[in-house]
Amino acid sequence: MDGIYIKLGGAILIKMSLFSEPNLTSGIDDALVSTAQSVPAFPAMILVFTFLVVLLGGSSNQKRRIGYADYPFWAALASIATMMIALIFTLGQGMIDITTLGIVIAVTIMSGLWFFLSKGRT
Amino acid sequence: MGLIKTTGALMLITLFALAVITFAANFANDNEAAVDVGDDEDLSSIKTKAKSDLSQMRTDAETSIDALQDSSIGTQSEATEGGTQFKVTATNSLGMAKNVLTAAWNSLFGKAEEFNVLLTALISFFTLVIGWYIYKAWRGNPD
Repeated sequence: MDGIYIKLGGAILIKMSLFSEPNLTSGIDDALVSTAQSVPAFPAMILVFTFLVVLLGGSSNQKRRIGYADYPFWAALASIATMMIALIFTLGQGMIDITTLGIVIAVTIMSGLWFFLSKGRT
Repeated sequence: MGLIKTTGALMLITLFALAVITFAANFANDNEAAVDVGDDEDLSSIKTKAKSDLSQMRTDAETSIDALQDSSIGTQSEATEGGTQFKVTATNSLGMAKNVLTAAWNSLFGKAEEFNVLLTALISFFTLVIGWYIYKAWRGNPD
């Protein structure tokens, strides 16, 4: 049966058919691509998630430890980490398109601009 | 930020953008990626323009320091007219540094275009900074 079913007392109440389940037996790459085909926002969500985890995680941890957060540095680091994930996505068809990759690279360059022009390291 | 830091920051931004785009393009070439950043016209043109800008910066920097060498200030000023004592040592040391840097760079990285643009930027920056220091020492102007 395709989809996810919620059961209550043995009776099927709701079929959760948000997207088709990926074939998990053919490797993680196939699972990612088939999920991306079902949910086109999936790769972008992974990229945004990566960016925010590094940015918020790094900056909040730095603030907790030394009292201030170097946001331009963490933004640059987060965008470089995101770009690495995006580049891995480019290896196969179906995960990322040239527009999304261009946006990721543009964000990386803008983060670099913020980093190099920020007054915190002058 | 002073003049040197601002110029350095702007140059590093250019180098960073160039490095990011070149890395992505070479990654696509090396791994035969399905999505190639080289297919994006805007990003490809940034790469070409940045290289051209850095090359022009080196030419301008060298023209600028040559003009500084030839310049003089009026005798009514408190500074010496030719400023030779400030010019000679600094420009000689710049010339030596350029030769040493170029030789060491070529030994380490060869003459690959991707790496040579960094050397071009570095030498341009040193040339500009030396020029500003000469001017500052000679005229006593703040940066």
